[in-house]
Amino acid sequence: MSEPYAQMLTPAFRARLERLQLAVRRSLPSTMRGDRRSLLRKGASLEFADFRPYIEGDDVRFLDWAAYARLDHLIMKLYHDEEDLQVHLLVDDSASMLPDKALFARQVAAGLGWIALRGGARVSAALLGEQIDRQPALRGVAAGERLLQFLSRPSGGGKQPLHLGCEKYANLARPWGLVLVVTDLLDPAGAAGVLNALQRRTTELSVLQVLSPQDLDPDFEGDLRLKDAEEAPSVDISLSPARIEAYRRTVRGYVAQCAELCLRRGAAFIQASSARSLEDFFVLDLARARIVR
Amino acid sequence: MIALAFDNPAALGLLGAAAAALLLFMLKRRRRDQPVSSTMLWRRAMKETVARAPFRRPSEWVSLILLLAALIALAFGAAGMRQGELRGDGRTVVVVVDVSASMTTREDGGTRFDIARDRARELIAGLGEGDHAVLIAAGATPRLVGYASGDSGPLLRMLGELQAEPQGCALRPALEMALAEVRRARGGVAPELVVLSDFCHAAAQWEGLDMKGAQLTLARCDGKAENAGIVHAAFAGDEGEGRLLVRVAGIGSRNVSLYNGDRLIDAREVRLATGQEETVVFRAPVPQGAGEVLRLGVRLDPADAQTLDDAAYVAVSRAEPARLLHVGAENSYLSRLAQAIPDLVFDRVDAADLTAQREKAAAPYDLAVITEPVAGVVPARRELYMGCAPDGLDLSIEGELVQPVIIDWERTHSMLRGASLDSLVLLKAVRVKAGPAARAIARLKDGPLLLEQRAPGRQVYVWASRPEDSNLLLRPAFPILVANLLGDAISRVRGHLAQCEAGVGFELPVGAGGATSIDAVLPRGRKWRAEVLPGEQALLRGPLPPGFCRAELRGAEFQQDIEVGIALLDVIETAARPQPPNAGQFGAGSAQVVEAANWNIQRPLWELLSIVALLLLAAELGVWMLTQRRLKPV
Repeated sequence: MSEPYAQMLTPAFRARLERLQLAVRRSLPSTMRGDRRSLLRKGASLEFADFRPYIEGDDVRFLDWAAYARLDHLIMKLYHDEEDLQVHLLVDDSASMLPDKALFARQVAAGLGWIALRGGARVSAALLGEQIDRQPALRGVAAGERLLQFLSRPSGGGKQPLHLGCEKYANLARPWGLVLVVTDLLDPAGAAGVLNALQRRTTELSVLQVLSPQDLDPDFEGDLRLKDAEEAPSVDISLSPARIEAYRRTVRGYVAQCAELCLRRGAAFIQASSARSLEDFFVLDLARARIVR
Repeated sequence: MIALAFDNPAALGLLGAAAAALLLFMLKRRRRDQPVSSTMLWRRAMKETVARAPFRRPSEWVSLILLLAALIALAFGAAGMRQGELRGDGRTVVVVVDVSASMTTREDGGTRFDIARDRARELIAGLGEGDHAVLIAAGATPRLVGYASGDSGPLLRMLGELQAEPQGCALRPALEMALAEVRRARGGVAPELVVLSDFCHAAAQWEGLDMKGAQLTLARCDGKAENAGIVHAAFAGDEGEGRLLVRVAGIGSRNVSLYNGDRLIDAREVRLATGQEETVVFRAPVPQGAGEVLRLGVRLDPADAQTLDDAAYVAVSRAEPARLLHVGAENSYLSRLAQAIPDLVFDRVDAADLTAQREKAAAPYDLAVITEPVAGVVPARRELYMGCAPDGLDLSIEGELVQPVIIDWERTHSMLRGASLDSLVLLKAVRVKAGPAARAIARLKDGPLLLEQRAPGRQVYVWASRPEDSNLLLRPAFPILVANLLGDAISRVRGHLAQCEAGVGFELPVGAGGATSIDAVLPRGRKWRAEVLPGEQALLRGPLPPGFCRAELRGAEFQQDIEVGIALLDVIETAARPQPPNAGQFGAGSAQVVEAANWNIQRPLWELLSIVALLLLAAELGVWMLTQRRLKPV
């Protein structure tokens, strides 16, 4: 795939993205201070956030003496902390993503990266194909164009399993912070492989599954030999309405299975069709999944 | 050994469908390549389909076997497969099939003839190598249909073309023909003689038949059908009206209706008991004008199991009165012809006044009897000179013969039909000298007595004796002779009726010379043509279907249209309760009487095979539905 990078995100869409922010569901350990305010975390900024009861070991400098005098209870004042957010965008670049899913996936990654860069985060990206094509961390609004250029690189169409690509990336980049994986999850290891490779104490993982209309609701018929894009075994099949319905059930079941696994493992999961409108996906679907706000 | 026979071998072509199905199955199914992003979920879906199916998926081979078995059963069933014993031991089977009118009676399994033909087919189809079959059709005249030795195909085809016809059954000659074949048979096994008939025959047909050495089977093809039919019809008419006498036999109550064309004229009811006949006499109309023909039909209602005898047809015609001219001195005996021959217009003229008569007559007379020499031509179609010679022909009188002796005469000549010259006394005769164109019909010892000569526009007969010189005018032969000369001109209202079996005979008019062509249109539209020479009789041979036959006779000097009604009129073929003879009376090696409808020579397998084919197809459909079962969406 080689999309002119300027067309990955239209100017109008970029303007819409500027109103969105990445949502972090839990606080992540960080060694560097950044522009991002961490919610409900003891911080050293002047901006008051909230109260909570004193727990042994808390910094007594933050006790609210006035509340103690009134209520005779030890209460801690909380202030917004400013921390450095790392965002890792991993895009499945295997042959199974070609062609429609690959474009949509890169557009999603580009949009998320754009939002993250405008929010002051450090954004790294990688295309997980036969090899791992990395984009080192970028920061600042101006880095957005470079991110788009990276995501516009031609697709390798690799046949390496996704979970192996995730493991390699995890070993190389030792990610921490937000990790967003955009993939079709049509891999034998499935969501478990991605979770096992990338989920850490230091990461908040979100899995965005992209499936094409053909994956979700195939419209072919007759006596066919289904040929896998990644050289998995072909399937000889004589399609009938019953068999197509069985396939649809299987797809739904698989998606549900991935969602349930991610939920149990504390990862966010969202599934979308590559035919979905990008704007609707960001404004509605990602917001509903609390990946953006 | 088991023999298989097929009623409809062409249907075995369906086996080609089975071969095609097998070939298609063996050919690998062509599949279209369809790229997908991943087959992972497809494989998972197929495993789930199999796991969720309540039954193990039948092998495709099971489906193929079911389909092939169904196609094979269907092919054999459609071909009418039958199983019977294959003989093959040099046996001879002589099959006599009754093809008479009573065999057209409808029974439960078809007509009696259909039943007979089916059994005959089974007998012939069961021939093996070394066996022989002979097929004889027993109708009004027995007919050897054909032989078969081993290969029964041609004989079966001939059997297929055989039909029952409106005729009687001369069973005895047919049985004698069959017995001759039985005696000719070789081989160690006693030959079989099978008679397939309803046995509507007179007992006398069977008397004295010696069937020693044969295995006799009398297969009754009759059933419970009751029949009534018209067994006799006759018409008599005069100037005013006619009478049609009809005799009905059989069993049951029937309406007997008289039709003139399609118009119902009269109807009566008759009630019949077995062995009884009832006579009905209708007043019938007659034609008003010469040349007019009325087609009278008598029908029995309601129709019963045999329809050939339910109708009779009579064509009634009217002719102009015959006109006879006597040229000569008055003769009272000749004048009496007007009384002897009904409706005869008799005129007399003296020889001297013939010229005036010639100018006066609007149309020629049918016959002129000339007893005195005249000059010129007499205005008549035929001329009979008695004791004198005609003018203008090579005939002359040379002297007299005293006490001439008649030596012979042509008894079959149309002029002399029914007229005997025995006891004719001739006192004197003239010696007639004739040229080569004249032909003697009767001869005296010293010359011709009766001569016939034709000339352009003339038919001349010369009787070599004056009326007063013999007792001819006193004999019945004379009016008969004159009536023969008048021919068809003599009768006025006549009913023309013929029997199906006998056919229609056409009599040429007296004096007709040269070839006569006869073009006839038979009932049901069949056509017939013949050329007849003088003195010959044209016979349209039966059996003919009931109805009207219309014929045109065209000769050099005449033209005639004839219409004849044809009906079965056979009391034996109408018999309501046929009775087979006692099989034991013939001295056959073995004898049996069987009911042909229930005589299972060959077991029909086609019914069973058709049911099996349907069951197999139903099973195949079930297998197909199992493999195509729709899964309910979750």
